[in-house]
Amino acid sequence: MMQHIASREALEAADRHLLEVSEPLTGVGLAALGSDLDGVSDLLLTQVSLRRTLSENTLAPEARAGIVDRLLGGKISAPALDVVQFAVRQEWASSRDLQDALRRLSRTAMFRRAERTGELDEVEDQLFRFGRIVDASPELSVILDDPTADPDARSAMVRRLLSGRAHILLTELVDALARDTGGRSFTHGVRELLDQAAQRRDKIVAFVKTARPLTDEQVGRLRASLARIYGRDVTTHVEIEPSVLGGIRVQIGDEVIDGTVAGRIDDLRRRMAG
Amino acid sequence: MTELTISPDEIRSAIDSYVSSYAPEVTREEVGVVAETGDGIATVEGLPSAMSNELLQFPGGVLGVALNLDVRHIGAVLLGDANTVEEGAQVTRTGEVLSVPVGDGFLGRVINPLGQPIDGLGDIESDEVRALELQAASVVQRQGVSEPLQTGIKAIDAMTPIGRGQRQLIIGDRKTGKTAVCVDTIINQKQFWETGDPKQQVRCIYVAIGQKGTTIAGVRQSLEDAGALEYTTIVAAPASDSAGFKWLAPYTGSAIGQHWMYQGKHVLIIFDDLSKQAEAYRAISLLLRRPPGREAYPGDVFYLHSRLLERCAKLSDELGAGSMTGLPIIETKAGDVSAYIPTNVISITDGQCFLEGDLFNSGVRPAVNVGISVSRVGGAAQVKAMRSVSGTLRLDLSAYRELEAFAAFGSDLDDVSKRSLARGSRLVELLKQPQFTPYPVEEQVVSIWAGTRGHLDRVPVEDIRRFESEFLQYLRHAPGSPLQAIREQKVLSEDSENALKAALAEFSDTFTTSEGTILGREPAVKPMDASEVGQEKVQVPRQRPPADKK
Repeated sequence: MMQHIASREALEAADRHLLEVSEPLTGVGLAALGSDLDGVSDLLLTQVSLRRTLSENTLAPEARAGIVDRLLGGKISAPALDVVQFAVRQEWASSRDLQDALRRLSRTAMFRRAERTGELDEVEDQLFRFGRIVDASPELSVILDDPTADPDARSAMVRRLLSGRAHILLTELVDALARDTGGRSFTHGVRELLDQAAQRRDKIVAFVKTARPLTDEQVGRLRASLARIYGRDVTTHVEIEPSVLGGIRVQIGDEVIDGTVAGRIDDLRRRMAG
Repeated sequence: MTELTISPDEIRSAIDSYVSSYAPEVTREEVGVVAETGDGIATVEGLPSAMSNELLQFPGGVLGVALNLDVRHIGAVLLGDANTVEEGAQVTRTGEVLSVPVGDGFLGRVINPLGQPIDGLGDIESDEVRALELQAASVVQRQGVSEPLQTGIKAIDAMTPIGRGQRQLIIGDRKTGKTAVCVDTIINQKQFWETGDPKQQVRCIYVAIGQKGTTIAGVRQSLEDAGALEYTTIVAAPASDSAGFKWLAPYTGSAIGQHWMYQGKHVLIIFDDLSKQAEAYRAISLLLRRPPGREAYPGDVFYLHSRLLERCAKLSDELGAGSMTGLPIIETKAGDVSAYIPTNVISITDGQCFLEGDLFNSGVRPAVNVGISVSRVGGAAQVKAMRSVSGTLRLDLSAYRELEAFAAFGSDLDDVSKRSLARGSRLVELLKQPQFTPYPVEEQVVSIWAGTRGHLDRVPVEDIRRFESEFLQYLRHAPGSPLQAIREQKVLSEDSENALKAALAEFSDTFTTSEGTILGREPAVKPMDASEVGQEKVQVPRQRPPADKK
C-alpha cells in the first residue's frame, strides 16, 4: 500500500485509465501491454535520474509526457505508451511510487488477460500454492529473499521449478517477482499479488486452514457465510494443516476466526491454568 | 483446476544447480547510483551488499560513510568537498569499514580525520590500519588507575589529580582557559619524554574539532616553541570542514592512541571540544532524517560520547600495562552544567574540572572552581609527597570561601576567622599560575607545603607569587636542596621537610616585600651610643617689647 494519499489517488486514476485502454485489446495485446509496463518499471528502477524527472511535480505534466514520448515512443506498444504518459501526468508523492505503480499496472493488465480467458481463478490458486511451497522450504525462501543474489540466477531457478507445471502467466508473474522483490520478502510479494488479483474482482482474500480437505459444497457454504459477514465476495485459499486437529481457521486481512479443535484445547488449557 | 505441486526433490535439485552455478564474482563490481545529494549527505541506490559504516567511493576522489542502510537506498555522509558529487553519479564500494592508518610516524604531524597529513611535510609511514569502531577494553582487560598524569598545574594536581587511564572532563564557558589547561598539560610531559623511559613517556594527541584555523595554528606554534611537538599528534577538523570530518575526528585520534596503548605505552588524548562533535553529529542525523530527541540531538548522542571515552583505560599487566588518559573539553553556555550534553559527558567521565568565568575575570587563572571540581580517582593518582601536603588544602579553601562574603563587609571578625581568611587568600594567590609554565611535581610539593603549613602567613598577599617563584629559584640552586630528593623518592620525608624549613628561613631573611621591609625579622634596635646623642638648642629670638607709649 502506498503511504501518501496523493500517490494512492494517482494510482487509482491510472488504474481506471488502464481499464479503459485495455477494453478493446485482445489477449495478445494485453500480454504486450503487461510486459511493456513491466519493462518500463524495470527501467525506472535502475535509471534514477529519469525516474525522478518523470515524477518531478514542478515540471509541467506536458513536459513529462513529452519526455516519455521521446524516449519510449516506438519502443513500446501504443496502449502502453498511452498508459505510461497518463501515469506520468499524475502527481506522485515520491519517485518510487511512480515506479511501484507501473509495476502494479502491469500486473493488473496481466490479470485482466487471465480474466478474459476465465483462468484467473486457476492462476490465483497456483500462486497461492507456490507461495506455500516457498514458505515451507527455508533454503528456497532464503535464496529468493536475498537482495544481493544475482537476479538472473534467481529468475532461472524459478523458471526451472515452474516450467511445464504452471500456467504461463504464473511463471511470468513469479519471474518478475523473483527479479525484484521490492525490498520485502518473497512471500510478502506473493501475498500482495494475491491481494491485487482479488481486488480486481472486488473481492477480499480469505486464507483457510483445515485438517482435512473440504468438499466443494463446504467451500461454497464457507464463502457464502463470509460474504454475509464482510458484505463482499470472498476468494478462499484452502491449506491443509494437520496440526489444527479439526475444525477450520479463517484469516481475512488482520482478522482471524478460529474454529479449530486445537484452538479450543488451547483456550481450555488457559482457562484451567487461570 | 490443476493443482500446482512441486516435489521436494525437484526443489532440492533446483537449489543445487543455483548454488553450483553461483561463482563469487570478484570482478563484478557493485555499482550504485547517487539518487539525491545535498548538504553533505548523499542518498545512493543500489549496492545491496554495502556494510554499515563502510567507506564508499564517490567521483572526484570524495569518500563517504554509509550510515543509513535502508531497504532500497543508503544514506551516506560525504567526507570532503561535496561539490563534485552529482545526481546520477556512480558510487562504488571500497569494501573497508571506516579505518585509519596508525603508527609512530604520526608523532609531530598534523593530520585530518582520515589520517592524511595536512601540514605539508610529506607522506606518513604507517604501521598498520586500524578500524575506528573497535570495542573498548573489557573489564578483565583493565586494572585500576594508580599512576599520576602530572598536568603541571598546581590547582589540578593538588586537588583534582588526574591518573593515567582516567577521563577528566574540562568544562566551562567560552574563554575560561580550557584549551590553555590542556596545552600546559602536554607541555609538562616534556620532562618525561626526555627521560627516554617508555614507562614514563606520554605520547600526546590533540584533537581539534570545529576550532578556528588560527587557533589550531596557535596551539601548534605554542607546542613547537615549548619543544612539545615532537611527541604530539594533532588531528585537525577545523570549522570549515564538513560535518562528517568533525564527527569522525575524535575517533581517529582515539584509534591512533589505542594503537600505542595496546603496545604498552602511555597516551594522553585531548578532545577540544566534544560539544562541537555532538553538534556535527546532530546535523548529520537530522539530514539523514533520523528522529530528533531532546535539544534536537539524536537518540544515540550519549552512545556517541560513551563509546569514545570508554576507550581511555589503564590496561592490565598481561596486555602491557599501557594507558590512555582522556581530557574531553565541553563548552557550556552561561555556566549551565545541567544542559543535555554536559550532563551526559559528566556522567561518563571520572571527574571534572570546572572552570568559571567569574574567577577568570577576577584574576584567578587557572579558573578552577575547587568547590564543584572533583576527581573520582583522587589520592591514588598522586605521588605520596603531594598527598601528604595537599590534604588540608581543600578544607582551607572551602573555609575561606565561606568567610569571603564577610570579608567584603569588613566587619569585626574573631581571630580564628581572620586567620582562615588570611590563609585562604594566600592559598588562592598561590594557586594562580601563568600560561605555558607547568611546574614539576617537586616544586608543586614545596609550594603547597609552604602554603598549607602556614609558612607563608607572614608574606603580604600581593607578594605571595613573587615570593614563591624566588624561593623556588633559590631552592633550585641552593646546596643541600631537598628538591632532588623529593623528585626521586616521591616522598616528603622528615629530613626533606627540615631542610625546607631551614631553606625557607634563610630565604626569608633576604626577601624584600613590596613595602620595602625585609621579611622574617624586625630590624634589630640597638641602643644608641652616648656620643651619638646630641642636643639640639633651639633659640627663639624674643622681640623686645615695644616701647611704652604714653
